[in-house]
Amino acid sequence: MKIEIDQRGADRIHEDQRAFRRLLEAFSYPGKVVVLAEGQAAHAVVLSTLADTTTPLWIDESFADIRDRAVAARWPMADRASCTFALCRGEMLDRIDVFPKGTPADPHLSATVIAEVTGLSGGAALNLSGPGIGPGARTFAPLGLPAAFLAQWTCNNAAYPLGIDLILTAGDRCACLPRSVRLEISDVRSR
Amino acid sequence: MTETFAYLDEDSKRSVRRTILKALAVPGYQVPFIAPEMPIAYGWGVGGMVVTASLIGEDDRLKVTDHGSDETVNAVNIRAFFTRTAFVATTTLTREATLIQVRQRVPEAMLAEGQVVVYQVPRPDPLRAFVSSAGEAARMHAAADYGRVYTRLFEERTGSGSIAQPGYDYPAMVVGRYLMSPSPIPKRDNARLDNSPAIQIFGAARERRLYALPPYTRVESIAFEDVPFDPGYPSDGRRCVICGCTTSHLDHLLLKDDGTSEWVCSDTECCAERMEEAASA
Repeated sequence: MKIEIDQRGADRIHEDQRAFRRLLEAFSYPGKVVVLAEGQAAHAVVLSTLADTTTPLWIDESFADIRDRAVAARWPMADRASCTFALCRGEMLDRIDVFPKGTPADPHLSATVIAEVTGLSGGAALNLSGPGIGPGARTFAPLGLPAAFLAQWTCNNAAYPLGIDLILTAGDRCACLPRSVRLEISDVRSR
Repeated sequence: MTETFAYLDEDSKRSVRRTILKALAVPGYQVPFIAPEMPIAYGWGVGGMVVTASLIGEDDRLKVTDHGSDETVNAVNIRAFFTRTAFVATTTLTREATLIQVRQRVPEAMLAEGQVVVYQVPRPDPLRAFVSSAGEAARMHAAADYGRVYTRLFEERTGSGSIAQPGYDYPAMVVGRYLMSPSPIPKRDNARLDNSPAIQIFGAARERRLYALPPYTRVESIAFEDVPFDPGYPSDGRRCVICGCTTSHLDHLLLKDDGTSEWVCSDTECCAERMEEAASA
């Protein structure tokens, strides 16, 4: 029996292309909130655009439906320490050092972690700095990240050029934090 | 699924797309990439074409230049290729383009946020001018071991006075971490890579390497604190025979019988714009 996972046919070419270009924009301008595909869960769109039978995945239990579809499509499943893509909830970002961060010779062999958060605005405002952040700076206020996340992200920065790259999603929107981006709480007094 | 769009199959595009994101995450680092074959010989822009094919969509407006010109053989044929395989609109105007594939020049017109510039790269690793082994070069990049590059620069400065460093493909340091080949652009163009609002992606098919500069990324031509980088502006009073420009990058057009030379702007878009401005003034 052939398990038909993706029934979008030829439209898929254009859907993937559009989603990737929007993801490219989000990845290039960190913290910029972008809709990947109107009305579709962005975390699923990222996986269907980038993952395939060559990319070991770790998918948290709370995304059992996506995991089942991935297994049926024969996408390889791996543990957290050896995945190319990880899909989890934002609350689980209190430990990002469990994911592969590459090696000095191959810093690209690191995990891209997709995390669904409560929202991409409305949280504590963070000032972003680093490549992709233009004049006038950029603030980003994701909602639903654990308290330990900032300390974990600072460690991720310290490992540069190693490190994980993060794609935060909420509904059909996403924003990216490549490893080169530094985060600072924008107003210390407001804590 | 048998249809293809922009020639390349979807599995290859997906792999290249993953590579592009990792390249943006570590600016200036050369990520190994699959460099699938295109119906053109390696060395004629396959790396750039593979990147373009992985990015291009129906809504894009494509500009292709070679040596700054929209009208040279390489540019015309690559543009025709994507018109036939991806049915995209094309333009010669930088401001209208969403996707720009170039060879040996950075567009002189202003780039904007959201635009993607794709560079065709013959030799992606600047360290290979210093060490013959790719493995040793990779180790040096991993350790940010660039001492030999600065030693060479110092030797040029103190040695015979001859300049071994060519006037093009002049190595640049990206965010103070990775030494990068800017591709064979004239060294004065290096300044246009720095802090650009556009996304810049470099594809080298023969060497199977892809690297990138996110927007607003610091790119510095290698130099010493007390001996600044010389962008190599000519001082012989040359001017374009078409538009008369003296500040644009000029290509040698011909050597006349009396020993004098004629020069012409390499960036045809900007040259044409200057001509139009002069005509309407």
